Amino acid sequence: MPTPDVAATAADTSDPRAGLRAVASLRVLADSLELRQVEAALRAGMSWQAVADALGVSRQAVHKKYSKRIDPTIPVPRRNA
Amino acid sequence: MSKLSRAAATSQTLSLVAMEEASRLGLREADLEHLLLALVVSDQPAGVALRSTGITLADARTAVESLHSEQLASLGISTGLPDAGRIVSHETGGYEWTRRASDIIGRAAGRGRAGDAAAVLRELLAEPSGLVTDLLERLGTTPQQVLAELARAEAEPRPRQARPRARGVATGAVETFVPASVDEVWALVSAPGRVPEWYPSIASVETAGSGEETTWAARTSTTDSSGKPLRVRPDRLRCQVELVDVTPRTRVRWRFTYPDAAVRRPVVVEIALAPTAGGTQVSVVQTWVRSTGWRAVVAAPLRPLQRALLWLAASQTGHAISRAFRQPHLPADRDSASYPQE
Repeated sequence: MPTPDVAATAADTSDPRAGLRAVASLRVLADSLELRQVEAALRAGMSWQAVADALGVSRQAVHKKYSKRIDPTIPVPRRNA
Repeated sequence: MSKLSRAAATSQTLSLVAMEEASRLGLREADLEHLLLALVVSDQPAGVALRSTGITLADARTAVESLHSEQLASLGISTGLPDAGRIVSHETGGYEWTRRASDIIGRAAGRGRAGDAAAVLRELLAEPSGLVTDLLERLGTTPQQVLAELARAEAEPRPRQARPRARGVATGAVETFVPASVDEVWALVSAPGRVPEWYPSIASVETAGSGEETTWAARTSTTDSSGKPLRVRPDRLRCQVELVDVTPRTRVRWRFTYPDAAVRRPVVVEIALAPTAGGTQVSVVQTWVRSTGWRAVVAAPLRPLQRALLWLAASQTGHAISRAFRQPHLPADRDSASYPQE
């Protein structure tokens, strides 16, 4: 597969249908990476608040989304730790 | 089976497998591609139809990965999705369907639809994004061809499982497709040391015997698959695992008894294997001895609920057998004390 030129392709709007589906793949990539990074952060001892700050969302939002989804062997920090 | 219970069973099985597939990729939302993967390993005509076009689980997984990688590359992102890991959905939580996937499953159980996996597949083939058509194209087929195979698979008479009906026992029976050869499945289900891989209430089996025995001591699981402690009655901590009946590569029957319990009501699990296109058809029949006396009278009104629970228990066993072969690598043989092969 030829490596496309980032600046040229990312902004390419000549085939919007393909472009939109590619953006859907981008969301899948973002979701997968977000879970990995949240797990890595908690493993490294970061608090939910610190994870939320770095993601730019509220602590409640990040906790609601990820408290059940993460690897259960990660020792999760207490509320205000 | 009524339409309602068929739809519930179908949705339960497809959800489990789709979410396992999502979990391998570090996702907690299952979307259309995961629904398609779940249908590829369905034991229903929908799965038979997909596999008749030559699709295997491994090829379908590769198609999903390369589709995403290429679409990401078109945006200038060359890393692709992170490599798939183990199935972790039985150890983690918070799983959901995406809106469009749950709509498809809902429509398949709607008015005029059968609610089975074939109805789900038909809805999936008609989804408007083009994702499924693209995946099928990568797998060398088309929605039209899959529909033709589906019509053919539905026309085949399905061998009805003769449900053993006996007085004083309750049974739950399920059929499962396993993407592995009969020999591989047999090696799993016939070895006492590997019982914990498919029967989750057993944590370990002591197999350090002469190799001649047919009864083994076992320990009951005291934690669930995510490591949370389970409440286990003290008289249920010890379990006895007995190999009751064996027809090599065809049928095996295990009996589980709690020797410390005052009322010993054994559970019998019978697993039968038959080769089928792309893998093995596994049927699991789990039998419980019913309570007698006043307990039976008290339990009688709960029969419908009990039936649902029995089905669920048998389906968990069948599902665990199939999952063992969908993990990227089979757990290393924990011990070699398998039933002697011919």
